[in-house]
Amino acid sequence: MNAKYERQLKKGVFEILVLKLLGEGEKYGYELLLELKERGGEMFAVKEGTLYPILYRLEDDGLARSRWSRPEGREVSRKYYSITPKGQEELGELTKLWYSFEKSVSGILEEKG
Amino acid sequence: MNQESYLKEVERNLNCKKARKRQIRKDLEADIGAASERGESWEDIRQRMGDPKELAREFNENMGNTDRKMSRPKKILLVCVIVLAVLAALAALLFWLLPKSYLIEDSRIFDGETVAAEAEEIVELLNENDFAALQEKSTAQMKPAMTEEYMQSAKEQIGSDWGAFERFTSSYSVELVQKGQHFALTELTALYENRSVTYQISFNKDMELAGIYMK
Repeated sequence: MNAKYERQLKKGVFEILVLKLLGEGEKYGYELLLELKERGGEMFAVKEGTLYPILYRLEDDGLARSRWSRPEGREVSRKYYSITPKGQEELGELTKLWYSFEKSVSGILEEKG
Repeated sequence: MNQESYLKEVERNLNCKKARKRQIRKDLEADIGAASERGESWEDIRQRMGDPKELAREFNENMGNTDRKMSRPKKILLVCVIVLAVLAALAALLFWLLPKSYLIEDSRIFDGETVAAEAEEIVELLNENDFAALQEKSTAQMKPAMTEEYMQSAKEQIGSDWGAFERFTSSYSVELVQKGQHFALTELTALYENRSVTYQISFNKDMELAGIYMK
């Protein structure tokens, strides 16, 4: 499989997945990386270079916001990202879109040409 | 490579605004901190994050900044090329503005003999004060000057009483090119009873009288 096509195909769903994870509660970047890998397996093992631009976009569009934690003791400061009400709305619509998208694509792929 | 030099290398290869670079650096720093709290060693983290250039490239690609910054030598080369192009354009403009003269024999537009004969004809018409005929031969711009009144005052400036025309003593023609236009210019010396007058007579490419200068 051509890695370029694979990357291209996956690209579009990361936004939904990140929104979904943030919908469950605020998380910091490293946590998101780990969760994506734990829940999606190697298929969604993204790197910082993919995750952060998504978070920046979500933040720029008002779908997510971030805050820095006040470190306690020897802890390092963490940047927590959380979903906004607008992000919740968007997540709902994107989820619906995903199901109809998945159905249509599968429908076409299963057709006997 | 330690953490600091790794992050520096990432930053160096990012193609985004300063504020965004700082944000990425802080996020990566927090990530590294969180990972090491979980017990990952710097070596493991570095391995996971991969080559700093590659990481920066991934950031650039996902932020829509794929066009790489132009390297310094390339920039210098580009500036040099632009400067040269401007200089060449200026030289071409100057060349176009300045009148250039060529041998009338080499002209593809004018015939030397015709030009010389026509120039003599103009002087003879002037001598005869035949302004109707001169008007006929002039370009639109020259017509207002081709009146007895105007030419008389021009002649006065050279001398009051020229005396009768005797003969032409010399004639020399060239082709002039200026601003993309071609002219034939004849310098003609006429001997009069009391003085000798040098005319410079120019024709446009349709052999219309485009200018007269006397001295």
